[in-house]
Order: sequence, then structure tokens, then C-alpha cells
Amino acid sequence: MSNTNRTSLKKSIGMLLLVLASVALGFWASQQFLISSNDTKIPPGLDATVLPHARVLQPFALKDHDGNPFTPEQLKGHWSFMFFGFTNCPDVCPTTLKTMQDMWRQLPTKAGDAGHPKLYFVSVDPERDKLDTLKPYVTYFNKEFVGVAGPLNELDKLTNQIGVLYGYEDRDEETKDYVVNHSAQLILIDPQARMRAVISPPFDASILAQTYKTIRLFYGN
Amino acid sequence: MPNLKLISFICALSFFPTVFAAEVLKIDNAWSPEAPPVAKVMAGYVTFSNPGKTPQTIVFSSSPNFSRVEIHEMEHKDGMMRMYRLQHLIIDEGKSVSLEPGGKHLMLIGPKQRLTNGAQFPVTFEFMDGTKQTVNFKVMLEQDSNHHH
Repeated sequence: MSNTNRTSLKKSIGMLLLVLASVALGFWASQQFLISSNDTKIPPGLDATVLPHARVLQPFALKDHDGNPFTPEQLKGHWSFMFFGFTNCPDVCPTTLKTMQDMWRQLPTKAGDAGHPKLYFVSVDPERDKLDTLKPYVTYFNKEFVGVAGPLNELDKLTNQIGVLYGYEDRDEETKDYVVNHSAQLILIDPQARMRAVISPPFDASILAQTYKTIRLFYGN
Repeated sequence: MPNLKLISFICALSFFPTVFAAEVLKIDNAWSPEAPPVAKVMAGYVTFSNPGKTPQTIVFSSSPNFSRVEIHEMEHKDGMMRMYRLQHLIIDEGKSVSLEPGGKHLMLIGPKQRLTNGAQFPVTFEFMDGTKQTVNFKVMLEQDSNHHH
């Protein structure tokens, strides 16, 4: 082989590599574009209200049931379901936690796996729900579930920005008991600690598992 | 006083159907989901059917296993689940009323001891006419799947 031939072969290989590299780059770029463009799209046909523009959570400072800080930082790196309730709630709260446990059993992932969500049960009755009550209450349904509580002003920082409502009925004069009314929606937070979707009751474990899977695959882990 | 006799006879007649109210109301599927160990309240679910000819009204509920038993209604209002106590529960003649998750339910307040899966406890319902009917609730992890079949 002559020197000129060798040079042109080198050139051809060089060109080929360049073409391959640009194709790869183009493919990578289009993937990136797809991911970032999905960010402002919503997956079709879901039994949930998905926000086209995920809402970045502003600071709040609550505690998880082990006494660790619970702030937007703790919501980063995984999807999170949030449910708001109170432990003196006879019907909606235990029913929802039971349904979430049934949903958890249908997840293809387990704790620690990529894409495995967390569930936070946030008390809207911090006067009666202390952390040492919340922990056995919430983990009764599933060891992975986490109870959250904190002072009302910090709780309001969270509930106000995600549109969760709660309120107290008058105390019963005889028993001093009171009832807490509260939103019963599930709030889905994405791994960048942004509010991504709201799911309204009544809940069905299979539909929830499917909805979560669709949203997670659409937006990524 | 024939009129008075007639009146009391009519009264007796009109009371007649309710005297046996306790036997007339059918109470089925009485169950209560097992609650977490720290729970201070439990829920009771049950179906009341009234095959009789007169409405039946539950005015009071109680259980020796709980401090108090109340019937609560649930409504979606202003984006919240609002729970409130019902003073009466009327079961119209020929109708049934179900207490079920997410709707009307018994609020069982202050369990005397923890009731776990398989345990049973009685609840007594008192009707407007003073008759009473007691039914056993079974504590279960979840509702019987055969329940609706």
C-alpha cells in the first residue's frame, strides 16, 4: 500500500468516526431533548391531575418520626407520596394507608431500588400527634412509611404551597375531643422536590401503582 | 270510657310493628379493620337492612369494649373530607344502609384494650322506640373479599 493510499484510508476512517460521533451526539442530544421536553408535558390518560409545570417546593422545616429534619432536601433523589391526616382519624386515614400498603406490594421495586417511592404521612394535628405516636401508627401499615409532624406555622408553609386544606371542628364540651377535617388527596413529589401531581380519592391500589409507574417512566427517576 | 279504650287499642296497634323491631332489622357484614397499636379510635362497618313496614331509627350505639360509639358521616366539602356525627340513623322500610370505608361509619372511640385480627366485640344499637339489638363485630385485616358476592 502506498503512502497516499494509507493517508486517504486514514482520512476515510477519520471521516467515518466523525460521522459516527455526530450521529451518536445527535442521538444523545435528541434523548436529552426528549427528557427535558417531557418535563413540561403530561402523560395522557391518567387518573391523576399532573402539573405541566412542576412546582418547586419552598422551604419548610418539619420532623420525621425519628426526629430527623424533614425539609425539601429530604425529598430529593426519589419520588414521594404525601398524605395529610391525623392518628385519631377512624376511617379515611387508616383506609388510605392500608390502600398505600396494598399499592406498595404491587410495586416492582423495593426499598433502595431506583424508582422506588417513599410515603410520608404528614400530621395536620400536631397537638395530639407526637412523633412517638406517629412512628408506631404509620409503620404498622408498612415499615417504610414515614410519619411527619411539626409546628403549625411550618406545616402551613408546606400545605399552603401544595393546596392542602385542614381545619378543626369545635371541641366536644363533654369529651374535649375534636375532629380534624382535611384534604384527602395524595400529593406526588418528583425527585427534584417539586410537586408533580395530585391524586384524589377514592383510591384503588392497582390504579395507583399503574399511575405511579406511568408518571415515573414519563419523567424519569 | 270507651273512647279511651279505643285510643289505647289504636295506640297498641300502631306500636305493634315496632315492638318486634329488634327482630325485624337485619344486620350483616359487621367488621372492623385492625388498627395500629397506638390508635385511639377504630372504625366499624356494617349493613343494616329493614325488611319491615316501618322506618327504624338508631338513636344510640354503645359497646362494652369502647368508651364511646358514634355514627359519623363523611362528606367532600370545599376540597376537604369533613366528618360529622349523626344523631340518628334512619333505615327506611324496605331499604338498607351500609356503613363502609370512605362513607358513613361507626367511630369506635377509646378501645379498652387492643383488638387484633380475629377478635370480636359486641355493639348495641338502640332504636327510637327503646328496643335494642346487639351485633358482634369481627376485627379483620381487610374486608372479606366474599362479602359482595
